[in-house]
Amino acid sequence: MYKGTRTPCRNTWIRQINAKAGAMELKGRKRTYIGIGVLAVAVSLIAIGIARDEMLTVFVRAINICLECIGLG
Amino acid sequence: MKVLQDRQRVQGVRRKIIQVAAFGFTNSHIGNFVGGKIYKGSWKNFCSPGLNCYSCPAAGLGCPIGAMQAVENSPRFGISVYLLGFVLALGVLFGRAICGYVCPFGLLQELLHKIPSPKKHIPKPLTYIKYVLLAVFVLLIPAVVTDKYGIGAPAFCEYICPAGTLEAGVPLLLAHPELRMQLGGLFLLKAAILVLTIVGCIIVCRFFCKIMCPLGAIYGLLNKISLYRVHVEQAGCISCGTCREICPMHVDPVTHPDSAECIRCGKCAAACPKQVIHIGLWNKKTSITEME
Repeated sequence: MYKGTRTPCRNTWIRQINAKAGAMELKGRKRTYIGIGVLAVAVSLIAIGIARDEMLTVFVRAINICLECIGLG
Repeated sequence: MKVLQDRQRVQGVRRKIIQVAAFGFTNSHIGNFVGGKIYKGSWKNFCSPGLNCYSCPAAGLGCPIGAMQAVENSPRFGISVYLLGFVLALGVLFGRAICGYVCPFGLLQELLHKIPSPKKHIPKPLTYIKYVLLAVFVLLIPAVVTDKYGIGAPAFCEYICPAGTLEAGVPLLLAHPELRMQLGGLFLLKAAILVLTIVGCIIVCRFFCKIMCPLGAIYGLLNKISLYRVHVEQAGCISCGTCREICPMHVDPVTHPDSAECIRCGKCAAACPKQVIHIGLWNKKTSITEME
């Protein structure tokens, strides 16, 4: 009797939770695909940046004392 | 209860070890403090994932925000696709876990916050200041305001960055009397911002991260799609609020697991009495089986 009255309610609750979890999993999966896509774009940007010698500008900037950083302008 | 405390302690120690190791790797040339020199080797081709001034005598890597402005400044490039790609790649992989685990300035802020004092929260609207600083001082001014040679100003480094004043300004000015002769109003402004930041960090946990950090702003925006993410098993959550109370960034991971403020420090996951908060690269399956 106890089981008979509680089980349908619990199952409804479980279905609601599972629906929410399913929606979250779908959102998570979409997010993963977007993330992988953005990662591919990022890697391409790094390659383009290296090809146009941006690393050299970064290097030259980083090996000289930055007067702006110190506060001398 | 003891198991929960042990778990929190282990998680805290593990994170601190990673933070100290990252700090040491980024600032490995400590001997340079003596002569006030800076490292000039090939590692400076690369940037550190976190905010760390490249003019710090100990720094072995470049600063992504400083380098981004340097490339933007250059009349040859206009926009830095190399650094945009670098920050985008790290942000999409780890989000603000970079702030929580490998940012040297983040570690300094956490140590400052351990100084005994009244501790306060900051109002949420103040957290939007960092986006304004990113847009105006890192992206707009260096690209638009140029001198007669077409070279722009690294505005964030020049007018705001307290990390630069602390890590590069103070040690280099102490080591070079000739630089001290040139001090003026700009240094006073930067010194005032540094003092404000230090006092802020003592009172508010990660004050600079919450309000001022443009790198944190970029990583925070990428938290929404980062592969390293917070995942909450809603079915098992008892809404006790422990995670919200323990969060140093004042985020509720149950309702906002992708919050731009979350630094993925893992304190919420370690403190959760039901172990329903997970932080990792992929989502866990959370569906539960119906009763017969």
